[in-house]
Amino acid sequence: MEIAYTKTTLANGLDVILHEDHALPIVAVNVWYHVGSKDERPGRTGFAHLFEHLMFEGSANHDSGYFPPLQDAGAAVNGSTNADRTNYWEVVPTGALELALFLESDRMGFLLPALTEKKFTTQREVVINERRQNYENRPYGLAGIAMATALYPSRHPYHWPTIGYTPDLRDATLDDVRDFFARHYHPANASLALAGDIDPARALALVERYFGDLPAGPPVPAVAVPHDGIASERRIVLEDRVDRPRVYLAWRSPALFAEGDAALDVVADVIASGKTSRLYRTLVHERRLALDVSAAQSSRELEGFFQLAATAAPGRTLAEIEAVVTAALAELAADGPTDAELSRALAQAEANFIYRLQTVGGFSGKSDQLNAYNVYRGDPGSFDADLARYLRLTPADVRDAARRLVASPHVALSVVPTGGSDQALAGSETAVAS
Amino acid sequence: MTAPAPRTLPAVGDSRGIHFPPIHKHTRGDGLRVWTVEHRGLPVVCLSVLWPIGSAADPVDRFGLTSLTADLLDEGTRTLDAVALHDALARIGSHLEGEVGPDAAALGLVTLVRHGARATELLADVASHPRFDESDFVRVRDNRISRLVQMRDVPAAVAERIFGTQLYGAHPYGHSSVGVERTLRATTLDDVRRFHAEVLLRTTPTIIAVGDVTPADVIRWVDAAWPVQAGGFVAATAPSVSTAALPKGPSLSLVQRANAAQSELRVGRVSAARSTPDYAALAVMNTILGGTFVSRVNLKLREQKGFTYGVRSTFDYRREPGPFSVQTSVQASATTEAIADILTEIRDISGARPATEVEIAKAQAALTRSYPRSFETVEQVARAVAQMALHGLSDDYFDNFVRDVSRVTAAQVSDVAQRYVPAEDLHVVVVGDRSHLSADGLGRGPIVERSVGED
Repeated sequence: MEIAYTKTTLANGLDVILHEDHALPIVAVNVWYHVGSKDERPGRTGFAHLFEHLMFEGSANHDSGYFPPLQDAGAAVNGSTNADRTNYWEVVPTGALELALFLESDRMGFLLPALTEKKFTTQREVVINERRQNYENRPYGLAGIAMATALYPSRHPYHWPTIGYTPDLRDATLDDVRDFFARHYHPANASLALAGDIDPARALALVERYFGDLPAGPPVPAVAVPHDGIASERRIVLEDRVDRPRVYLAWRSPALFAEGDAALDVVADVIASGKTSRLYRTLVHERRLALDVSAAQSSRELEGFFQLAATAAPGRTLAEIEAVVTAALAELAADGPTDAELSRALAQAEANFIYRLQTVGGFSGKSDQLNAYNVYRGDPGSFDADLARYLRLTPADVRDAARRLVASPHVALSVVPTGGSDQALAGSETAVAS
Repeated sequence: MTAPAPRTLPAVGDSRGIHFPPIHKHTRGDGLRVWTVEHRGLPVVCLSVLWPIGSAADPVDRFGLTSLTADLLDEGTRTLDAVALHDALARIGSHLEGEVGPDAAALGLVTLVRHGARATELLADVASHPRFDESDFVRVRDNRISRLVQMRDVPAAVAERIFGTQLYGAHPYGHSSVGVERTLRATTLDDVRRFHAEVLLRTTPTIIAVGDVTPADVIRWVDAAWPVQAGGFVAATAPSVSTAALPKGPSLSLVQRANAAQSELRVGRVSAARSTPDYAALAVMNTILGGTFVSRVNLKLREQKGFTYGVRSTFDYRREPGPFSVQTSVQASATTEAIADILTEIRDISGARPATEVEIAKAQAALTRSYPRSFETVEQVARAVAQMALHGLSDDYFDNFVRDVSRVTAAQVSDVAQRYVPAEDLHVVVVGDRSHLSADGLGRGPIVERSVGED
């Protein structure tokens, strides 16, 4: 399933990736900035995500909101931020390609002259409300923050949450955010993908016209990663407005595309994804200890983390769940998956690769995938190489990945109802989640 | 070398239009319908079955029955236990998605075309020969009850539930499709078996296939797999409950949530049915009021005041009049002001500040220009076809939508705002801390405290 594309790097360092697909009269415009919360520093967290808001508020040559002209043009528009990168995208009717390129180039090159104290303070309040809505006022919403805090030492770039700490957001000054923009938001730290109803020669000329004269910007130094892991198993507890206790078990794991990354996806699949998984059968179906169980290898640029979560059924305890999970992981680490389990997981992986090619834009559409492969691997056409990582796995590879995982220390987080710390795993200390 | 561009906003050029693809419609001797849309490009197909019977048909003492039955379908069939069934689905790169709404139940999957015959076989087996084991039933039902208890901690879920009963009272749309704890506890496996055999299996199904397939392929798959209904399928009988008996607005309900960081808000009323002749005018009006990021309510509450991460308004179109609602979550201290602002924006669009010609032109452009991207994936096209099948929309319905939206006038926008969302009637639901809510000046009457408990 190769995707035909061209890649050009402009003189200022901007990577431009073009892919033709004329099924519908639409074009996806997708920009990745290789900046995420990993590029922040303690005391100044939440900036990459805050920019995801400020980038829609206007730039020097279009000093008003970005949504009105794009929505009038019939565009879908969004962006997202994680620890590693920020993406911005539009899916526009063919006739609005130039509009989208103008706006993307203007905020890449000319955001700061239009950035006022008023825009900054309003969007900071919006972000603080986003934090309240999605983390503080949502059951189990602070679990991810508590887990990251415990899993990574305080200087580690994955220690703090992408949404940021509220006091940091409150302390941030306009000069701080200007400085952050100048360091990270420029052509040499960005990748632009266009996918859809384009004529590549004309599209490249338009890109050159709007982005070609933007200054390259300073080189972005690699993020320093402290190599101290967690020394030993840690148990922590967080009280929350929840009815049922839930346990999260997490390990630090191989980075995206590193040895063992794909195998851990299969470990997650075999152990806890869907009704065929081992733990769904034992924990939920047969023994009814849990209401649900899930697992995932979160592949990230500096390193990954593997997390398993299960919610206790009424009358059951997290200790009972933990015992079953530990035994299941030990079994997989000893014997590996069956051939049937592996072939089933790979059939799903292969189909999912094809399903993801249905959309030109948006999150995980073709333009987003081209940019992901370009930013993380330097090769936009890595579709087949990525799939091949899975198709060549053997049961022994999966067993070995599980074995390495369980041999390393993990963090066990119990989220329990307010006042119910006795429902946590024994010996849990109070979690830090702010 | 290309000359740098002048840095001004480029005009939007023309784009070619699209036509909704033809639907090949086949009706079998027993009434079963097979609708196929050829959607080429990738070797994938979306297969689904739609029954025009939903949670509105749940008996009053068995709220949640349709949804619980649908949920039990994938616990295995007569010949495949749950593990074998899900293993078979995974091997064709697929998993089942079930959905039960007020008016319809659907079951579907996406698979690779080369597995189309096998996928149809599994879909037919799941729909027609569910295993319905007692132990699965107890587990699934009890898990649903546990989830309902968990949902009491989710402000948005609490707000939706109270909003539903506040708008609809005893009307069949007044309960959510998952049911409530009391009725789920009362439901037995016999109820499920009876509903499945006597209602669901007898109701005319529509099989919808969208993908890199021909109608002949799909008909062959269905004929090989789907049991023929002796005596033929029957049309669904929609519950006929008058909307005349609906609770009267306005009202102001509060679910107390001490020290909540935010207040979850719903503002709305029973409004328009899917068959409304005003659909295009309502689409334009809603786009301006709260349907987009640049809508009046979002600009006011998010972009001007920073009270919220976002606010939007929607019409949920159903067979009978469905709810109009404004939905948001605002910082606690802004609760009363945010409600007042929402009510003002709704009132003003049919009064003091009617939609301007510019706003209408922009809304029309947004709606018509965005239209082609609604039909990119096989799932998107299948959803559109399901709308047509469920609501009896004509084959040219989606193509005419662009034309109809383009013809909407300012007078129509004011008119539909007045008739469908009169501000004086609106119900307000708040899930948050009462210390931030004042009824003064909102015109909704006194605060009525509500709770979600064992009901």
